[in-house]
Amino acid sequence: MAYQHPFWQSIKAQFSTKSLVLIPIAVGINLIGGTLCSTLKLPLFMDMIGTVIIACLSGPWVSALCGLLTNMFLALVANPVYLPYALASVLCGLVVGYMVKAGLMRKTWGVVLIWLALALVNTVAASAVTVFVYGGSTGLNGTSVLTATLLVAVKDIMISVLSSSLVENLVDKGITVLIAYLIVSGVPQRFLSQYAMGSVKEAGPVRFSDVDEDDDDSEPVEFVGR
Amino acid sequence: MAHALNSFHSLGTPLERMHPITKIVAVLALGLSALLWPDFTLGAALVLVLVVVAFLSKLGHPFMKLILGFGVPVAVMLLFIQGGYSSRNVTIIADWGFVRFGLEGIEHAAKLVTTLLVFLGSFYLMNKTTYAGRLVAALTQVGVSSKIGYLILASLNVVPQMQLRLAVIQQAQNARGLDTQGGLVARLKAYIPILGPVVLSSLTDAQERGMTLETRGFGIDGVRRTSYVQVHARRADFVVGCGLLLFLIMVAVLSVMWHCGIIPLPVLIGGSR
Amino acid sequence: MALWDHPLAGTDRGFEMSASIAVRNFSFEYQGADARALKNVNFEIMKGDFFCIIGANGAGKSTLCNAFVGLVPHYFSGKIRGDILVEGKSMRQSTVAQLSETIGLVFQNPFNQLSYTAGTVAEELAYSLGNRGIAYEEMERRVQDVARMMRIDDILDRNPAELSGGQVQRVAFGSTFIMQPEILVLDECTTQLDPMGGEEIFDIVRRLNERGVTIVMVDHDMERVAEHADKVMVLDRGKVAALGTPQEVFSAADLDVHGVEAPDFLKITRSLYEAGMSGHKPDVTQSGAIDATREALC
Repeated sequence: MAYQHPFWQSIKAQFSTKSLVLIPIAVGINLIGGTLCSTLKLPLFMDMIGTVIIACLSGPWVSALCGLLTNMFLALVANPVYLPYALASVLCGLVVGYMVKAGLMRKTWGVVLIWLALALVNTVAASAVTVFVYGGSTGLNGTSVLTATLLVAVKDIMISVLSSSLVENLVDKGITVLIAYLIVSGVPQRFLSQYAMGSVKEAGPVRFSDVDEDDDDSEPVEFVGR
Repeated sequence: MAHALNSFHSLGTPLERMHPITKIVAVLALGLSALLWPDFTLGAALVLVLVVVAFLSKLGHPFMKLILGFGVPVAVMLLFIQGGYSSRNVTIIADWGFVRFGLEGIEHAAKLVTTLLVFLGSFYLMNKTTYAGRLVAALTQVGVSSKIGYLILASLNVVPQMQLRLAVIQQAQNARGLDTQGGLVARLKAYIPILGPVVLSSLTDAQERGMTLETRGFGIDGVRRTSYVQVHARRADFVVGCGLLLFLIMVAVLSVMWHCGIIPLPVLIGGSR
Repeated sequence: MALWDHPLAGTDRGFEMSASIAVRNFSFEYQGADARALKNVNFEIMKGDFFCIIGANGAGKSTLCNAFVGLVPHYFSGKIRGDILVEGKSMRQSTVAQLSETIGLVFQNPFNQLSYTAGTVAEELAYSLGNRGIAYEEMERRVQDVARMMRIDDILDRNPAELSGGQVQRVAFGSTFIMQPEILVLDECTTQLDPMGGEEIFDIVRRLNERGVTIVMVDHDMERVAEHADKVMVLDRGKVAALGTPQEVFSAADLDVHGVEAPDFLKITRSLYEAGMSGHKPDVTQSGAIDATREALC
């Protein structure tokens, strides 16, 4: 058997069947989150709710893969322009995943930190894609017009793209993280506890409680699963 | 096999019969060729070739809509942004006061737009002429993990189902008097009662679907997967694939030689990079 | 191999050889739960039996079904004790995929039993064969066989997403049965279907049982259980409360204590018998009820 680095093994362990089946669902949440926004005529994207939820359940690398697939899906069914932005989605998944893993989702200031980190990472990564892949614009839309206006004032492409995107991202990711947090809090504990990352709530001590006296508890109890 | 997982509808054209791997090679070879070539001329020529292929594959009209719908606005924006503010600008060809257009920036914008259109157009044609099940079967044949295949196919299948569920819940919530028409705050408040139930029921479903996958042998390791969808590589697929790779290598060699100044190419406007 | 040819025939082990499923001191507690779902369960299911499990909601029926096929504990994590032998194989030592060649599971929601990788019913049926690297010719043969058996040979080219619940459930049966298991576990597999669809499914189950497939069924339809089961087991709060023939189990006085109601036929025949209107002893079957009613009316 070939030697496998512990880091690589820990990543592989995140991709259990239980976690893999969540990915298409999370991709779906990302997409319908965005759809619902446009049907409710909200001036937001909300296309990362699934990525944040799956980061809470299955960890950073599954979340990153979910981000990648979301953009691949958009490229396949909507517009291939979305494909390069997969870079931003993957980075966002990783950042949120590792912050949840560090336990930040359990504290209010932690959630705020996740929000700010998500907004910042997405701004920088998406702007980098816009500038380096698309030269500054992906067509005639609100963001591009804002970019162009800023460009006339500051005459620097990177700064214009960055600042037009930062404002949007702060608002959008704030609401995204809040909604994801509310939804994960609503997931039943028996479901959550089947997942490695499974806790926004503190898990209680694991014990074998039983009030029946006729059970033979003398045999050793084995723990199966992770 | 006309039953579509994605936006694929069988039109019975030669491009549909082409091996999916050959089509992936085509997207990469054409796109990279346009990217490597010193100026926008090769990209522009390839876009024309793709337009012809699209019409031969009975996809001419939607293809033109994509090319124009994406190409024109992007060209306008990029000509302004890169033409007016690119750091490469040396030769100023127009001065409108608040913006000075440089030749190098415009050339760069043209190269960007044509390269994007080659990638976009070839990707679009591949997607529209390939049944997803066949693509995944072909990928699995060449050794791509069946789990990746699952993720591609399951996403394509599950998402429309979730969209349907969202529509149903939205109607039900509307009928119960949820305000989805009012002010910004009211509409924002309507978001969770509609999205929440879809998300929660989908997560529970996911757990049962995982049970199904496990019992169907999804987790088996070390077995070379087979597929009910048969994909056979024909001689023509092989020839076309090799031809495209040869083309890419030729373009790469010529471009490198041009960069090193070994050969002069009929480059229109100085060339970028 | 015939039972009497076996070297262990006649010994205690010989008895075990004819057991399809042997549950040994089995306990399970889901990770994060505060009580055991199953507590020290012991019983056996014989080869070719039609074995029914009944009990109130939360009695542990689904946990037990998932344990038969190895999903507990290989998919659902938790604490486990004891073991279950499926055709002699320890479910703890086997993977879910290995077990699925011996024992198949069909559960309630038909739409959660699709792989979501298939564009046609035929692809769906072949999915588990593809995962095992079985050649196309063999795949095609088995798909045709199983489709005929499940009466879905006319919809092999259809997209599974466009089918009715009853049709999808038959596809799920086919996808499970294509592995040619000797045991089928059915966890309320007709509950979500309309009466017609449910009847069609149950018809298939009966035919499979006649062909020698061991059936383990969780069901809420007590009349159906009483009519068709060889053995009935009552599960109550994770423990075996009763096990025997339908007549024995349903006639027990403490049945309702365990959250189970007796079949209507038994109630009818019992009240006729107790009122002295019929000489027929209380009976759980439809024919018994008809006889008793006829006698009472004449």
